[in-house]
Amino acid sequence: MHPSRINKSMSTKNYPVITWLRYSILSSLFVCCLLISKQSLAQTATATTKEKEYLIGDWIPVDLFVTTTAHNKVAFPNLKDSISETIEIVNFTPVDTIKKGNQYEFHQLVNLIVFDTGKILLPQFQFLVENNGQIDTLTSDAIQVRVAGVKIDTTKDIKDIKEPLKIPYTFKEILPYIIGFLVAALLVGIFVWYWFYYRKKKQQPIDEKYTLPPHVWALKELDKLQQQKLWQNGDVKNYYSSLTDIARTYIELRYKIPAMEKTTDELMTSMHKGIIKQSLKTTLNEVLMLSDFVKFAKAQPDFMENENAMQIIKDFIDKTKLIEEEKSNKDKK
Amino acid sequence: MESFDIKALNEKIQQDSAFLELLNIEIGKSIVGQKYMLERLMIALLSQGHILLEGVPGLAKTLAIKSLSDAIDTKFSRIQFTPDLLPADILGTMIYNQAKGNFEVKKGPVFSNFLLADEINRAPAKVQSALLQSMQERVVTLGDTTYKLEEPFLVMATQNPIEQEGTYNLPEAQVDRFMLKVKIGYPEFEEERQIMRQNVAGTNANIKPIITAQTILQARDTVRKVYMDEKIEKYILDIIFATRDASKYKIDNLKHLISYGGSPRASISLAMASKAYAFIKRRGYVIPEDVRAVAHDVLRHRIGITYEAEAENITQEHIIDTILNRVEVP
Repeated sequence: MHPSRINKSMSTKNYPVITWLRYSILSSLFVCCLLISKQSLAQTATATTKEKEYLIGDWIPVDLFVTTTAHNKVAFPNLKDSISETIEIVNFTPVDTIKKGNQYEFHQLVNLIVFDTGKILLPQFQFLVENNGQIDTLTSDAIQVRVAGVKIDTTKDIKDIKEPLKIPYTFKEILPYIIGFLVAALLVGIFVWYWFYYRKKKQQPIDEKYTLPPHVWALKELDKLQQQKLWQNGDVKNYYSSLTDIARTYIELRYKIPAMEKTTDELMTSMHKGIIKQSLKTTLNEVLMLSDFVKFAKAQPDFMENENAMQIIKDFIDKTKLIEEEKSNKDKK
Repeated sequence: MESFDIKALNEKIQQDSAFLELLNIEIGKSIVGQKYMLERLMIALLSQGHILLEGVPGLAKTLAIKSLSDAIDTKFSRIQFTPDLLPADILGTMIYNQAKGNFEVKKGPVFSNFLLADEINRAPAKVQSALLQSMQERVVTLGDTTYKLEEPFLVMATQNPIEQEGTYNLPEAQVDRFMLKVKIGYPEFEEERQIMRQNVAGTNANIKPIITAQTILQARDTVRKVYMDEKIEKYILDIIFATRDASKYKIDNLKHLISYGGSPRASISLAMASKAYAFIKRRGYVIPEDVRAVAHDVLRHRIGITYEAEAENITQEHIIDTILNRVEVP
């Protein structure tokens, strides 16, 4: 039977069954509505702040909260570095999920920062919820907060901006610099050593006169001088200069007398009787005096004198040489 | 053995230096000992230099130069330097002649051959420099006229090393103009006995002129001709350069002791004095011994020592000795 017909053909006053039925239907509808509303209340999205007023530059923590039934997947808003020109996102936490019976609670904390003063409206946040294959969109309410500026006491004097505070360096901070400096100094030191010592030393061959026994070195040098044939080629001065240089160097090495820095007279005085025989000293003096004449007075000795001078120096070396046995005995003493 | 120019030069030197023996004998009549000072006086005279003597009073400094002047037959003047001395007292001045109505030149004691500047450090700088200018340039300007000083012209200045109060030390640039700075010591025991006896007896020797100024000028020419080999030249330069940069000659221990070394005038003076010394020794060539013999007198006033050296009691003598012992002899 169609209800409209019942309405038209029957009056409620006259038919109590119909009235009861009517109330029953209405009650059932009311219960259904309640059930439906309960279902809808199970999926909620909210965005809240603790305070309603913040200081400029303060972090504004916004709590995003979504409640759904079990097995529902929820997508939170995709947050970047800012929400609008005036509202920036400082950071946000990962979405946290809490199960409470059949309900699931999704929670995320987003810290915002505002560099503007006045009333700021934090916009709505949208969440996507999958519900039995269907995707629903939940939206939180916009939040209005008041951002206050720093209070300035205009009655007081204007003061200069303070310098940044100087914080003393810690050892840990300067340690890398110290290590860097030491490494650089070490490298420079190695470089300098290489260039000015090692390389130089490498380039300079050790003089034979310091490695060979004095008489061996001197006789070797005299042989070389003879082979040069200096006086035979008219270079008498150079011949006598070299001859006396060899003789003086030999005396220096053999007797430890600084012969190169002494004049002939001084050298003869240094070589007293205890060192060499008088006869050797006399012949040596003759050659040195002759050499001085050649070197400083343009004297031109004849060839016999030139040959003789060489022979006298050779004899002097031969008769005064320090043989190894004597040397070792001397060292032992 | 034969030699070329040297042989002729040696012969000439034997002739030209013969007067030295006579001079020594004549001066020896009045001066006992002090041979070193007399030899240095001759070196300065023969090499156109001047001499600064340092020694305590009473060492016959005045007598030596007076005797030398008398023996050479030249003019001698003595100036006692005092704080109130004026340049005109040395050089001379222009004096107005009322009778003639004009200015006449009054020549000072500098116009002589031998000048003794006694205690030169007692006069202020302007007086010292007036004398030193005439020493260097050998001319004196009075008014508008420049007068050339008569040759030979030798200044012997003295300084007392003990008393320093109220003295004006000669600046380095001015002391450099003295070819030699000679330090005189006390005579030997026997020499002093002889000096004492001579003075007590009152036997003042009369020095007679035995040579003329011309002989000295001729000897000077010969001294210039004394042969100096390039090896000796190098030796002289090595010594002078070692005073300037000791480390270059591997004498590093002197580096911090020398504040300034010898000037080019030191090189010239060392060369000239060496030649004069060779001449005195009757040689026509210079040998390293000659250089070493005069090195101390040429260099001791030309080397500046640092405060470190003074603190360590190191003197110029020590520095010169070290250099001579470390620079190679040719």
